[in-house]
Amino acid sequence: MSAAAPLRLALVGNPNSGKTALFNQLTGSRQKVANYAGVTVERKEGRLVSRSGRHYAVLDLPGAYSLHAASLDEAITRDLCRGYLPGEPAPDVLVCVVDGTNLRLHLRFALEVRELGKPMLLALNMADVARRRGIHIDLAVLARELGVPVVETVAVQQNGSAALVEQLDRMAEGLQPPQRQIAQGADLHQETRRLLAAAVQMPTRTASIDGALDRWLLHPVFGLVALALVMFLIFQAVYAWAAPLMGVIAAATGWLGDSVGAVLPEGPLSSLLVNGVIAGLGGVIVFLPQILILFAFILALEESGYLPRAAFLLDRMMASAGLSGRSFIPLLSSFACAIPGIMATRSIQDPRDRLATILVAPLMTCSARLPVYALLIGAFIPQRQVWGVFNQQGLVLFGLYVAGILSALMVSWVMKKWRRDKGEHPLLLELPSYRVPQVRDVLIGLWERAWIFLRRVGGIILALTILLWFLLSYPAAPGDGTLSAIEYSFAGRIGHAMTGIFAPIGFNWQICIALIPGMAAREVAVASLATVYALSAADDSAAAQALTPLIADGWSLATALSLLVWFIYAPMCISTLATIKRETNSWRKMSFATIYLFALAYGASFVTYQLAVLLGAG
Amino acid sequence: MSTSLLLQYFVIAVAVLLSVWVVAKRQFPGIVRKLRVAIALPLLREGRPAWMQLVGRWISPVKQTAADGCGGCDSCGPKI
Amino acid sequence: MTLADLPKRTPAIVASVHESSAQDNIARRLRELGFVAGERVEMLVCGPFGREPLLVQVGFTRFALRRSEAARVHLRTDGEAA
Repeated sequence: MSAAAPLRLALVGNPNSGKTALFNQLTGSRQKVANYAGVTVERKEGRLVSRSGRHYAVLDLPGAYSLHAASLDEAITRDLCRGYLPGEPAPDVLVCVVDGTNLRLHLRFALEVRELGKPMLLALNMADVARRRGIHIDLAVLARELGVPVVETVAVQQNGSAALVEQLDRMAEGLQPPQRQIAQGADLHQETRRLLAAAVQMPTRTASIDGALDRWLLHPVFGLVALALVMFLIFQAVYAWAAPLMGVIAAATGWLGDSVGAVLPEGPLSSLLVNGVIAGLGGVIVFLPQILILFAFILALEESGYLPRAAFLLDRMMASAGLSGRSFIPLLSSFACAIPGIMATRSIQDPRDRLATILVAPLMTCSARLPVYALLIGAFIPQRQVWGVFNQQGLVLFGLYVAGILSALMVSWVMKKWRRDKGEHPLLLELPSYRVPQVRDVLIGLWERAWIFLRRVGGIILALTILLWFLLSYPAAPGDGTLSAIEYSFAGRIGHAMTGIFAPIGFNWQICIALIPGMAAREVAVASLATVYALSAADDSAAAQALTPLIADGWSLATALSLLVWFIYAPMCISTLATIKRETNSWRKMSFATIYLFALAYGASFVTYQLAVLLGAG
Repeated sequence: MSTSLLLQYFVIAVAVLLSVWVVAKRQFPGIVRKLRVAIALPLLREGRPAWMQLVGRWISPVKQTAADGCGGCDSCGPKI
Repeated sequence: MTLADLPKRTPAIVASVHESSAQDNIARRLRELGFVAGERVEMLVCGPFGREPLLVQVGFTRFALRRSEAARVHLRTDGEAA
């Protein structure tokens, strides 16, 4: 049975139908995220093996309100369902996921999908919530009237998709097109109403809790206050809660470095391991607690349904800057990493809005900047309580994030003025029901994030650290050298050469050299600095000191501030630039982004450094 | 040069070469593919000894599903 | 009267959605989302700074709309109410 080619399923549905949670439940960790051939579209495919041993290939398609596509995302869904997407075989079965608490909206789309005439199955998702609200859905009647099988699913519960998989197994024996079609010229909405009247009883319009919460959280004054408070508290928590864990990791790293240094004989291998690998990687891993705490909040907010409310509150401000409220969520994604953020802009209908969002997404403080910020804040901002309650370091971090956001708004505003934009920016955003974030889902998300981070550390960051160590150690200093050994190495010379350009913004040669591997991944800059300083210190003592006190002593406050500002703007991530090129399909736009961001970075750093020196921080 | 030092240099050389490979694969995947194909092709020609063909097959890159620009993130942020 | 003029928390019934220009994709999308004749609609909240966007409930779904988007939705003026 399992020797047969896997049956191809495509999950379709409106946004907010819980489709992705269902996909996660069906495929578990057997997911593969890549791109469709030749098109810049994210392709999420997973494997499902039913209890009877049958294999399925499941595709999670972008959410769509209609097969009349209004955005790139929806166009992909439409084309794939019809079988028109180049390089993609047509799906065998369309699994249409609908929200059981809002069939009035979702069923219309299901009817549209049914019109395609392909074998189809209706997954009535959030069946538990529907039941709790007193919504009665007669599955048999609905299935009969629709002409397709209907199953209940609860994506957040343990066996919530069992019925779905069983039904798929049954259908796989002999696929049939839908048994009913809509009458010629009949209206989809009328048909939806007819189906609802026949099969569904709804006691209330929406959950009353939604109304109550929205009355406050969308209030012009209180809503914004609440939003600011939430953002602010998150950053305070990032510092306060992470501190003990970070201490543990730093101590472990130090102990490991000492132990290895004691065990291995003095020589290049010891240097590679202690000053290169352990110092470098340790310098980055220490920030994992902060990253995880930040993510825990972002995930919880996403699960709760609060994000569209934030988009609602910020829409006015964003519109005056030339963005739409719909840009909010891709931009929020960019706080994790600009790459999925930029890809998320595919859901933005207006092409000018989409381009503006893509071009400012790199200004959102991505999680890779966090180690850099945390390092500099830890070294230069004293640990103090401000106004008795607020952590000063947390305040500065919050300030850096705000700076990124304000810069994005300003850049976007300038672009809007430049292109004399008078057009309309559509909003039309659904505000789904509030949900209590499932702890399990947040934890799974955090676990994945931690793994992604550690893989990056063990992969590209490790590789770059080793290479940098090599370039910093060879060629070795000549016998009659007067400078410290490191300054004779390849990297040392390159770093010194770069100071010509970077001295006006206060970067010393160590920073300069760390910026080069930092182009591959921002966190590498921290690892690189750790390696550079560890190797410098190796001249005097065997054990490498922690990086923070080293730069606290070695750099001026002006340099630190200048570097912070540099990292707000500089596109220190080749992958992001590559994504911009792919999503805009234009070398010109990518070059524009690169140039304007580096120019901004240099300019802002210059102003910061010179001003700081003038004020005595040099 | 003592054996200990020689061994150390060997380990370091391997580490450095592997690192170059990792970085190249991530940052310049297109170039790496072309290089692998270019090296593997002469090894896989007809009439070459079996072991050479085996090596050639090992070197040649896997079938490309499609490039993914990000080297390590698998959609790591909130979605609508 | 259009949805943009509807006072807060006053239920009304949709009459039709008018295009604001030729090939108006927004009008079509509004219809697809449920702004169709006979459907109950209500404006719940206004946005900060200048009263935009509008939180609108149509049928069982809530949307954030611009005034210009809401202005396309024309309401029944004959003694409506739920």
